[in-house]
Amino acid sequence: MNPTKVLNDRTIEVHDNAIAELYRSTNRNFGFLLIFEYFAVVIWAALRSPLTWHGQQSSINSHVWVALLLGGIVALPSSYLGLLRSNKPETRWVIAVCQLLMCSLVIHVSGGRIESHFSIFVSLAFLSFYIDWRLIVIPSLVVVIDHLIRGIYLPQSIYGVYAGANFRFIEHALWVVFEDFVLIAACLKGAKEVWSIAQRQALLETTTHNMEVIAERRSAILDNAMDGIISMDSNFLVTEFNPAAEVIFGIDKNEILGKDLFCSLILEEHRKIHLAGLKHYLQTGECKDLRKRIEVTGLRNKLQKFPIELSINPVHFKDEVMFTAFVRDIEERKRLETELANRSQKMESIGELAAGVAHEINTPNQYIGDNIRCLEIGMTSLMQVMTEFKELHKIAHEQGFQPELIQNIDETIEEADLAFVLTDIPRAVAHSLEGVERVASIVRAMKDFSHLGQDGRSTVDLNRVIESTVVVARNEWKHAGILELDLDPGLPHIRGNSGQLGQVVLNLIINSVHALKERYEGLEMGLIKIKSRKIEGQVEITFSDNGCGIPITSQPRIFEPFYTTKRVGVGTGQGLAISHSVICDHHGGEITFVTKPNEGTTFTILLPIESEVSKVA
Amino acid sequence: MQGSKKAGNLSWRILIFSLWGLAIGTGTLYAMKLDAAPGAAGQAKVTQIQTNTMPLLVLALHSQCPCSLATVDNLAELAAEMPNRLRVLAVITGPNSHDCPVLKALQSVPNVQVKFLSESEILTQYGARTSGQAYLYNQKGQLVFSGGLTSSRGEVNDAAGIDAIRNVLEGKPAIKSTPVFGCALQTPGEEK
Repeated sequence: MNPTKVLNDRTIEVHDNAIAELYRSTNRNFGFLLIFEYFAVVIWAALRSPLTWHGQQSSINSHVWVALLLGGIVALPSSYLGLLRSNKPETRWVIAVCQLLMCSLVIHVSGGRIESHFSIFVSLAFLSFYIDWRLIVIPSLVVVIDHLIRGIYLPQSIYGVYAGANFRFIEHALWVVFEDFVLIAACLKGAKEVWSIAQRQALLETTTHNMEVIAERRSAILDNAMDGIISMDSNFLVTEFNPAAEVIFGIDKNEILGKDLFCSLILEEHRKIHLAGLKHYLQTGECKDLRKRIEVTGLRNKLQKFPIELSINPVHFKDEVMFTAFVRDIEERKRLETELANRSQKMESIGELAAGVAHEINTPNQYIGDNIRCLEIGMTSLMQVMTEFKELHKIAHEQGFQPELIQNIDETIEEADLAFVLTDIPRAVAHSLEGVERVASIVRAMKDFSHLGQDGRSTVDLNRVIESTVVVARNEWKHAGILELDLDPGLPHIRGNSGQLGQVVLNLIINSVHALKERYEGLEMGLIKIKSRKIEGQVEITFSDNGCGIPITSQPRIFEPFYTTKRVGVGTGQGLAISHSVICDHHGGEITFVTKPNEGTTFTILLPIESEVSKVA
Repeated sequence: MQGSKKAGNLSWRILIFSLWGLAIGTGTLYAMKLDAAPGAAGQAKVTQIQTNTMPLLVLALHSQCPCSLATVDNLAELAAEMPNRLRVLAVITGPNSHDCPVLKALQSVPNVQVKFLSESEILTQYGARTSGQAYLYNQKGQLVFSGGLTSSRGEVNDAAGIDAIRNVLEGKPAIKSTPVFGCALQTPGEEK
């Protein structure tokens, strides 16, 4: 709604209410006044000329009857209206006329005593309390008409003379008109002031309402803030302590308000430093620790130490300096950071160990492979020799040459199961070579991973990064599901950090494994698909699983650091945050996801190939 | 339905206010009629008296008439204004004549002589019927004014009657008579 219209409507409402209340109160006052006037005129008439004498007889003076009866007819009904019908619109009109009729009665009873005419002027002045010029004009007309008629027909009752007063009303009327000018001007001014007051009140109410709304909003913000917000005055006494602060420090607001902030909430050794800094600021306007986030040790329940992140900002309000402290409980964050650091250190050690082991394995593996290949060659030659030996043995046996020797050879061949040996040894050698190759590929993958955490950028073959990571992580996924690779053989190489990208691939594989375990609980094998392809100047890698999916409530937060929905010990809440940082911040790419609860999740990574390097075949 | 009820209420109000206005008007007219009727005018029994050099004012008063106090006050003011220019003969009737407010008031008027008469005597000797009736005889003993000395009931002010006396004392033309407003001097049914 239009604020101006609201203000105008409220002004009219306030004005009308004020006028109505003015009418009511003035009506009530005139109600009492008329009763007073009635009894006064009756008593005056009774005291002044109570009796009329006729020789020896007396009777009540007619003026007493006039005051009693005519005064009653005029004053009592109008007084009733003023006291009991004060809110009726006609009441003030009746009262205005009757008040002047009472004046007329007073003048009449006084026998036209000139002093009694003052009652007219007083009455008109009283009527101006209505601040309605019409209530001055109408009674004035009553006065003039009364003076005119009485002046003609009974001048002694109004002017105290018996004759010659036909035009005297003009003089009296002029005096009334003179007063009317003053009173009407006063009424108009009064009405204007009432309107002006109504405007100011409406404006004040509107402003107050707006301020209340703002205050309520601010209060709601303070009440619902996750961080503790504490205000203190220049004496460091607490003036505001929001609910979050109560939770953080385990202290009730009423217990801390008006007390020294630092006494109860901050560790003593920090307390002195902060106090000195703030005092220095009050004296010089400078303090290096203000408007900065610093980590200090707080006191929970006045005893228990815990880490907090604190920032204190000075607030200058008029000539006063206040301070607002923003407090964040970082105990959980610190715990996770420590845990993560420990894990990272452990992982780093494992990585270094793995790299060392890989190196140590690689050397003997190489000469084992070489020797086996040498053996293979030797065995091939030996097989040819054996073939020729068999021919010689056959001929010697047929010609009866050295039968005893032949007999011994036959027995040896039979004992050695030469036929089997000659068939199985080449197969064993082939299997050994295959094993050696497998060891070599694992060692190669381990060497790739030994680059984790290194910042260098180089040409990265994403397919190879994926394959290596899949090999390294095989132990993670092989019991949870089947992992299918659909890698584009023509995928261009990009410039990037292979270690960081391998970490992302590993994180997403482990995420998928956790999702599969949560959905199938080891009773069924799930499916993980990793696909790479080139699209419109970008490399797209998708990681799909048919696991439990991501709950709707968690979806907006999965890339936040330390946010996890996994049970304690399963995840740190860092994996996706790191992945997001690696892809978006370090490689200028993007990572998105599509998920359906209990159907699965697909993460899509897009990496720019603006720095695409030549494809290595 | 509601409109007709409102109209009915309005009619009732108009009727009540009209009746009320009528009652006020009637009462006012009645009051005016009461005041418009002056007391019975007196008829001086003597129009020429033997007098010395000072004019004589004969003033008939009812002992209990509240309005007559104003008459005496007006007269006292005139006497103070024009000392030793007027003799006053106050004839008083009514209950407790010898101890009444009027008598006390007359003590402030110089050259005053008081006579206590019955209501019939005041009528037969002075022809006075209404308290405040005054007759002024000039230095020659001639009756030059007859009427009341107040311009309204009980008012102390410059009334036409006082003006007439002042004018006579100063030898100026004066009105001959004014209405008399006051209590009747005679009891109804006992006038003779």
